Formats: sequence, structure tokens, C-alpha cells
Amino acid sequence: MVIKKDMILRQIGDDIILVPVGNALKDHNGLFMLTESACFLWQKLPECSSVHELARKLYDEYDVSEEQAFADTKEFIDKLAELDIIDKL
Amino acid sequence: MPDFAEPLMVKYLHEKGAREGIPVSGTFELTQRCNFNCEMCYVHDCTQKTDPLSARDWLNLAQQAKDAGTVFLLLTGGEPLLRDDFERIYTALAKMGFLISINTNGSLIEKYTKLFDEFPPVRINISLYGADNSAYKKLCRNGAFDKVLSSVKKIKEIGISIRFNTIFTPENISEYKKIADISKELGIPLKPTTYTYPPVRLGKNNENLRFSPEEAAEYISLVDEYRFDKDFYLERAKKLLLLPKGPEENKVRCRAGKSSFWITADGIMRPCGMMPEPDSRPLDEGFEKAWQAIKAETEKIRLPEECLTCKYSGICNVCAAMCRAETGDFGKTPQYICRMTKHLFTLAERSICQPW
Repeated sequence: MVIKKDMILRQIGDDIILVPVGNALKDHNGLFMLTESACFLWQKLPECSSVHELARKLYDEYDVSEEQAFADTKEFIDKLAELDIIDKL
Repeated sequence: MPDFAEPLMVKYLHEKGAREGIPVSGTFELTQRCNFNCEMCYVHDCTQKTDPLSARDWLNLAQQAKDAGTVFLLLTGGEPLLRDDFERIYTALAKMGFLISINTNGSLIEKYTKLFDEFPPVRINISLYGADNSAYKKLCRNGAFDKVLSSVKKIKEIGISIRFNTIFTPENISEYKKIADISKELGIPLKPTTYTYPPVRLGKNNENLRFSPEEAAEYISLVDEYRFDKDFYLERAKKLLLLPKGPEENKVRCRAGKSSFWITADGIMRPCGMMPEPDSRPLDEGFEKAWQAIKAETEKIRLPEECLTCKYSGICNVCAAMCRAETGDFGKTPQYICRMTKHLFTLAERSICQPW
């Protein structure tokens, strides 16, 4: 999955935030806070071509059911697509 | 479950920074040089021809600040756009993932329109000193108004957030209606002030250049009365007359030295640019050590005891920098601020009583 917007992942204390860079700032004049698992998904995004593939990585990493991993991953991906940060799959 | 929080988290991050000692925001005073020469300026040094810190120095500091947790960065001066290497510094900072704001007089922006289109700052704060070239010439010794206004329109067109900052002095107060009209017409917020800090960093005195405390109160009320609608203005006056409770501690009240730092053009770290102390030297001792020193010294600062029991404390804007600049001591009561606050209260009473 291709991340369309230039975003930098920053750790501030124990918080993880995404900072829009360059033109992404015109569309997203603010910051996004990520949970630890959202951060994991964000980092794995470029390696995966489908929600299933990404959900599988979440399932392998965290103690969640396959169903929960898929639901959470889909919600995350849908949100990113809604914000136009990635293309809708 | 993964989720997104609110996109704007400035307040949250500052509170976190203050709690955990993280410098989430900072100011880089890139230069003390300026192409304007405003007498009330607290920082402009006409004698400087070059800048003590190179682009490499600033980027080195920026990398260390980023590692320490800085997210928000304000670039200021002097006039920061005056630096020949501004584009190099700005581009590198933007690519590092800082959310950048810029303080500028706006006269040199045109040259950087393309850069700001490619890497938009979060906001550009433009100091607006008057409403025509002759007003600029009188106050700033540079008749640049037309140039500033044309640049403002251009950067507004490319979607950059702008705020006008206006310092009113006896020299430009006659412009207040025209300045407020420009702000309204362009839909750009205006942050006016009639208070000017004594320029202690320059070792100068500005008593004859600034308003008396009562005048400062009168004029800021006049400006606000003109730019706000009657209901809002009166509502604000009523709130002021309720004399809300002030702070319970006489420690530093703002973010300075708690979640925020300032680095001067000569590389000295301070809690705030209006304070001539405490200071540390991040280029010599490293950013983290310098920040720890500033935090520790800021924690020791105490504002006047008298402010804690003053009935006006809840409506007073006194801060550590004002105490130090006005009296030479963080712990001494700045009479200028007391008189200004008391007069603001009187004016609020008057505005409620007067027929509108």
C-alpha cells in the first residue's frame, strides 16, 4: 500500500505522532496520534498490498483474534483512506 | 484497537511536555539583523552585519531539539527572511518534521512564495505596523507597506495561515482603525498589543517611546472596541469585572522553561526571548544538558508574593519576563503592569455603564 502523503513518525515521550510534511500540511494542518498498534500498522503499510496481509502481521505480532485483527486493521485503513493519506483499496 | 486522536494536539503536547520536562516547542531567533529599524524593538541590533550562528549550527541544534521531543518551532528574528541561507535552513527543518511558524515583517516574503507553497509553514505571523507606506516609514524607517500587503495577499492565495501581530505605540496608534479594517477585509486575525517590553536585552530604555500604563490600557480597549462587535466586547468586560481567581502559585505561569525554550541569535538558550536570564549554551554543552539547566533555573523563579493576594490577579497578564524586564528582578512587582491592569478594570466598568 502506498502512502500518498509525506508524514514523519515522531515519538514524544511515550506518545507516537504522525507529523505531516511539505504539501501534506495543506491538507492536514495538525498532528495525528497513533496507538502502539496503529504505529505498527503504519510501519508495515508499505510492505503490504491488502488489508488481509496487513491484518495478518497484526495478528502475528499482537495477542488478538484473527477477526479482531482484521476489523482493527480495516478500520485503520479506512480512516487513512478517508483522510486521503492512502488510496482506498 | 488502533485509532486516531484529535488532529490538533498542541495543548495536550504542551501539558505533557510540562509534566514530563519535554521541550515540545522552541524558538530559533535566526538573526538580530533587520531591514526595518523600529525604535520599540526589543531585539534588533543595527550594529550586527553578520549572524553569529551558521546554518550548520542551527541544523545541529534542530536535530538535537528533535531528539529531545521538539515538535513546534517558531523562526523569528530580527527579520529571519533576511538571512541568505534562510531557504536552506527552512527546507531542512521542514523535512525534519517540525511544525514551523514564522515571525516576519512580511517585506521579504515574495522571494519565498514558491518555498512556502512547497513546504507550507503552519502559520506566518506578520507584524503589521501601519496602513500605508508613510506610516511604515515613520515607525519602521522603511516604507514597505505596499510590498507587505501584496505579499500577504500572495501567500494567502496559496493557502497559508496568516496572523497579523501589531504593536501599537504612540507613533502608530492613529492607524488602529485602518489596521483593524485591513484585518477584517482580508479575513486575517489580528493580535494587537499596546504593551512593549523594556528592551533589556539591548540595555536600552524605552520609557519615552512607549505609552504610559493608563494609555496602554485606554488604547487596547479602544482597538478592541473597534474590532469586536458590541455584545462580545461587553461580555468580555463583564467577565473581567467578575475578577476571577488568579493563580495559586507564584511560579512561572506560561510554558517558558517548562515545555518551551528560546535560542537567541548568538546561540544562548533561555526560557523566553523576553528574559535576559537564565541562560545556557546548547552549542557548547549540548542541547539536552542546556535544556535541563534552563528547566531547573525556571523552576526556581518566583513572581512577586504580592501578585498572589492582589485582587486583580485573575485579570492580570503579568509574567516572569515582564517582572524581570520592568524591575530587574523576577520577584519585584512591576508597577507598570499593575497600573495598566487597574486601568483596564476601570475602563471595563465604564464600558458597562456608558450608553451604547
